[in-house]
Amino acid sequence: MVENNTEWLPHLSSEIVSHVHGSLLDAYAVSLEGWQRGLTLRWHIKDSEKFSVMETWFVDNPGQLFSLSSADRTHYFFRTRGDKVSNQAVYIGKDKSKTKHILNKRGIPVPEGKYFSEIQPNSDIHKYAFSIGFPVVVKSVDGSFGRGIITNIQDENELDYALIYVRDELKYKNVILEQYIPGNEYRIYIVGNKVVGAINRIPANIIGDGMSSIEILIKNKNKERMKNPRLKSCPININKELETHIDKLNYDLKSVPKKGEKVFLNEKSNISLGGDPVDTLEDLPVEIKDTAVSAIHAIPGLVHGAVDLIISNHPAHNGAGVVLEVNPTAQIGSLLYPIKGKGRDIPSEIIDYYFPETKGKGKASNVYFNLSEVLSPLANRTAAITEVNSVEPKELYVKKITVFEGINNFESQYFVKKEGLKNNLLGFTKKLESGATEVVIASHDKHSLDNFKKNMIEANLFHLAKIKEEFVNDAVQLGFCLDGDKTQLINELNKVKEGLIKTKKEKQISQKQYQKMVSSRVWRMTKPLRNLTSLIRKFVP
Amino acid sequence: MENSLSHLQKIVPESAYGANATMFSMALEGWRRGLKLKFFTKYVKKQVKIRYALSSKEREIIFQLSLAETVPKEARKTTRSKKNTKKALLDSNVPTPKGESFDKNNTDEEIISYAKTLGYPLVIKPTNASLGIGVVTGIHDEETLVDSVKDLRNNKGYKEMIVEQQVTGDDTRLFVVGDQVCSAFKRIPANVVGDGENTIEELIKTKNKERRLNPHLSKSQIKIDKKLKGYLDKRGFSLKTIPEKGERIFLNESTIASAGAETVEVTNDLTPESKKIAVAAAKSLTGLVVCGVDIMIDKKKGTNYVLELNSRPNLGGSLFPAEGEAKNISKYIIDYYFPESIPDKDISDHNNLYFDYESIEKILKRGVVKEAIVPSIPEDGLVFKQFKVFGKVQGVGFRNWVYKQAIGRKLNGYVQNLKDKSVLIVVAGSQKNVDQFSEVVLKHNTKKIKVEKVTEEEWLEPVKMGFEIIGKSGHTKSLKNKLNKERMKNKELTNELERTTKQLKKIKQSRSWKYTFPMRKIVRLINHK
Repeated sequence: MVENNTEWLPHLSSEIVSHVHGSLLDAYAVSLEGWQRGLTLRWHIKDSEKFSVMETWFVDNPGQLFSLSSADRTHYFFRTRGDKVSNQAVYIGKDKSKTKHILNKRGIPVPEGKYFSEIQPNSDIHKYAFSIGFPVVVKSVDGSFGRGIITNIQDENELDYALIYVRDELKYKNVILEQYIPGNEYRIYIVGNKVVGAINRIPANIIGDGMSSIEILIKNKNKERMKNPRLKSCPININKELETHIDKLNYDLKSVPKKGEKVFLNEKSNISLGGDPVDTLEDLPVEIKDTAVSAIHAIPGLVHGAVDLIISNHPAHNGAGVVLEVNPTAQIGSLLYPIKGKGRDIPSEIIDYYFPETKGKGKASNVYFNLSEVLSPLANRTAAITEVNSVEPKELYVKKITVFEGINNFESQYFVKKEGLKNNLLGFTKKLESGATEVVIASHDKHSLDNFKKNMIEANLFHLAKIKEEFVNDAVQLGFCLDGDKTQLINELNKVKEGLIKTKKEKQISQKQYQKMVSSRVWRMTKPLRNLTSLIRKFVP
Repeated sequence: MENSLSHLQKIVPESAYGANATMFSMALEGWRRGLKLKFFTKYVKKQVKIRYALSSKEREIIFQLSLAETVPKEARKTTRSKKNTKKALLDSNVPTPKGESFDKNNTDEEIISYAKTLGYPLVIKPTNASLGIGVVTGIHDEETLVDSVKDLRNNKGYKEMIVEQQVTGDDTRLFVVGDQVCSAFKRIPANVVGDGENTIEELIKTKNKERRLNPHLSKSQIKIDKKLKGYLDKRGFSLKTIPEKGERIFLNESTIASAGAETVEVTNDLTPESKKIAVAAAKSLTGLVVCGVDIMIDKKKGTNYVLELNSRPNLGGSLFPAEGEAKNISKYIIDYYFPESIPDKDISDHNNLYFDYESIEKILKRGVVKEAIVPSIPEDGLVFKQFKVFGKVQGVGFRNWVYKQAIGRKLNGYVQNLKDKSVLIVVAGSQKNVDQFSEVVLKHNTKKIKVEKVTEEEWLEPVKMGFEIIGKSGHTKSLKNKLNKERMKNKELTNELERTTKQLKKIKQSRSWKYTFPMRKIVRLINHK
């Protein structure tokens, strides 16, 4: 099923971020926004400069830590979180029981619950569960991405199983037991006093077409998710948990749901577990927005971040927002690339907050930088900090010159690059199968483009009669890249490799399907029938 | 400290040959002492230039080769004009050859008649040229004088020039840092020294090979041309002559590097007088704290004539002399600018580690990164080791695995496949990390990789910061081949995919499949039970 009613941010098109690994998407989006506004962007290794005192994690590989500077100040960022968020706020956000305590004190609705440390036996937890009543949720204090959370626990037996799983198997000894709140889950992003993005997180699901099995529908959905920069790294995984869940609904993987029937595949709504993000910023009730803003304000030193909440169906809550979590280092990919609705420009709001004087600048920018190229000196420890070459916060003129003959050899290609760099142009060359070469050049200054052309003509590389030129709307990458030069080859190689993996998977899937069909009893049983049909065809033209 | 210079020659990357060797040596000296080192690009006259900055807690200084940006612009400007330099030297009573400058308003005749008053031999230098370009030396008679003046002014377009008496002696470069002369070399014209076996031609070829390996001389080769043949001929030699062992044959009279001249280190042979004059010459310009002073030293006559001052001297002649002991001038310059960085303890292990200039230059020149800060040198107590790993270790992803292990432990060095099917690993890092690393390598056995034996030895050569896999996707050609292979694979797979999809479709659309739909449903129900 294809959802076509989505509208992503044009300056963060899936093409521009296609080279960015999913886990680096947040940092890339925020850094790109600052850089396009003309701020100085630098990428750092672990513990460099202010990062030695900022709370960060999993930063051995570069791509999470960057700084942006204007003439008079520098701000440091870990993913989406800038240095205006205090470390204390980060500690509180990580500690679910502390968060709950603080919010509760401020009168913000939170699920009723209690913290149990590793020395408290399961029997204590059982006792407490009875006092608040089933259904309940077990949450590990230290888990993230939905790990160590068992939700909608209906009875004592299920609770027993859940506690053994989380405390013994996953070894998250410290847990919270709280009431299960049925309702819709939201992630709301707040900068300062303003709600700047909101998505409804819908647990992984498929919609039947009356013909395909659940298994096929999941595969198709995953194919759709592959096209989404945020969701491509989180397919719906077919595992025991999923099979158990649909078993509760009296389905199995081979079942064929009715046309239009929505089948949920998971209780949890985490995007990383296959959940769907749906933009709801405009429909979100004011009271809910207020709750989210006050939750952020309740945490000292938290000036921007995300609130996860449920709009409760429970009669006791009367449609209020019950806050589950406050996240100072929130992922924003699902807000940028919802499966339905509009992508919201969270990076722009964050940069406005840190550098208000740059507000509105760089909006027309159509230049981006290749993240892996900028990070490569950090990855092999050649450099500790790299500064990305700066650009003016203006639109670039981009011109495509198709040269029909003559510049296919290495020398002329190299000359093109030299002239390009000399005139301070960005761009690339691309050899077409027809033997022609496309030269794409870009500059803030139309004159430089003409100058380049003039020099190429003088060097006898462009003959006016044999070129075609036009202005195009494409975004261009920083630098000047020749078709066939090393960087380009490496990029191409990676792309082809990725494609190869995809094709392999698809092939396996269809082969399996084919095998299944051919070996199915019915197919075998009807073999005589098919033979008969072909016989009849032969004799009855 | 001095003997580490032979190491310098090994580690200067080829991209830093020529003038950039000065930058590399300066940056390396500062970085090894723990100064913060940053490289960045600057757009000068439509070309991307690389600059660097060194900083301590107290100060940051930006350098252009050996020149600090703290040197006053006025002093730099004066050194670029021979006329003004001469004036400054005379004002400070520093001996400099007698002469006069002329500009475009002077006629050729005026110049010629002045020249005659000086007496031969004479030298003519265009005022605003550097690197010895356009200079005519050894003018012994009126005919040559007239020809040279007319040629320079009318053919070559140099209207402004200095005419001065040619002074005798060795063309010597003295490096003044602060109040002292820290190194000196003399320039001698292109030459070969006989071995009693090879011809002059063969000796020149051997010499050119040596020059190519010398970061300072690699860009200038001795050309075998008519001029050279003529010069030899005049002296009764030819290219086929076999000089006697130890006999030095000069090939021309020029002391300009591009003409094949060489440098001979002479620091210890300097007289106190020469040193005094060099320091006085540098001090004739305010703020010229690092200066390359060119002096014609004639020991027999006892004369020292200062010819030129250089505010941005190339250090290559002293770092990589063709003869004599190399001098690490960078050390003196860094001492001067960053006295706080003079090490008070032994940092000799740092002298075996260097940073990856080549990669930094590459990324800067691509126009994507503007500035790169080099990771600071690790703490003291580095261990340098080499491991040779035997077993099933090639073609099984072993090097990639090693790379991850080394990067994770902050080890520097490289991993390389050897021809005997073993793998060489060179690492430099803390004792603890190197020990840990050697342990995991020894124990590494997977389905594909089998480590059978590991030998361990000290590693005495320099090690580059960072960790690299040598011989991996190095060449564009191998990359292209790989790309084509992958593309082919992709194509084949896509074809197969198309085939199966077609077959699938066929089955689904086949009548019997359609007709048997109810039947299949029943079978599924039965299976379910």
